[in-house]
Amino acid sequence: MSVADSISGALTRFGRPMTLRRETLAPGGVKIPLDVEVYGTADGWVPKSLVGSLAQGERMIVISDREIADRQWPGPPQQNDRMQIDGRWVTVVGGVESKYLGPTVLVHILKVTGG
Amino acid sequence: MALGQFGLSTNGSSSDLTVTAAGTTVCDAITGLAAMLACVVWLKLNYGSGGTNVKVYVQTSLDGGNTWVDIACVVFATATETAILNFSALTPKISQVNPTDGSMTDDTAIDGILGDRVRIKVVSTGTYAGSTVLSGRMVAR
Repeated sequence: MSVADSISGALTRFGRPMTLRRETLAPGGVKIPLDVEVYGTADGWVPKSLVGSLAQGERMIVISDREIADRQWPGPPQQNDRMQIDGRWVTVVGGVESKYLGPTVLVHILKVTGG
Repeated sequence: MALGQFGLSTNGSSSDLTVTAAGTTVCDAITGLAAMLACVVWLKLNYGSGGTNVKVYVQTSLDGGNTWVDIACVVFATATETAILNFSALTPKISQVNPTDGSMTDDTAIDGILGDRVRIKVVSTGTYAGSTVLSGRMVAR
């Protein structure tokens, strides 16, 4: 079993299913989604003060590249992609860090906010 | 290999194709489909403005992607429209099929020829604007 298989297996076993979505804006404000179901972990909810009394959480998500590659989804994830975690939609913000072993993508580390 | 849903209109980091100036665009091929017995193709043009027509050739390859064979040609004009087609790999085809690449008759399809990969070739004429978007999805079974 390769390292990629091991990591993917661990995230499948100890993580949870999430939906990663890329949206294209069509005429009339219609959003066209392309989804892929991935497995990953989510933690590190950090309240961040915004204007007035609003607060918005930021979370760090680690997902396997396996499902993205299998589905030939147009990875890697990028800013403004959306994720559904535990039924709530969040938005990918900032840069996405992909971890490699040689040429093989193992995982993507995302910072998300909202939900 | 994976079956399930795939994006047919993926091109680079975009999941859908914005149609602008006249030209030909070949979207990323979905590969690794050797075990596929059938596939449903969903194509939708979200029309903005301008343009003349958009021809979408659904193609497969039987030689590892060296040459591509049209299995459908869907023509969109100047309106939002959706086309759905289903293909079966188990449909017998015992009379010779003469392959075409981007020249199949408009609004026709041929069943029974599914290789291990599928892609779409998009040929647009006229200049589309207003964020006209072509989307393609495929469910492989």
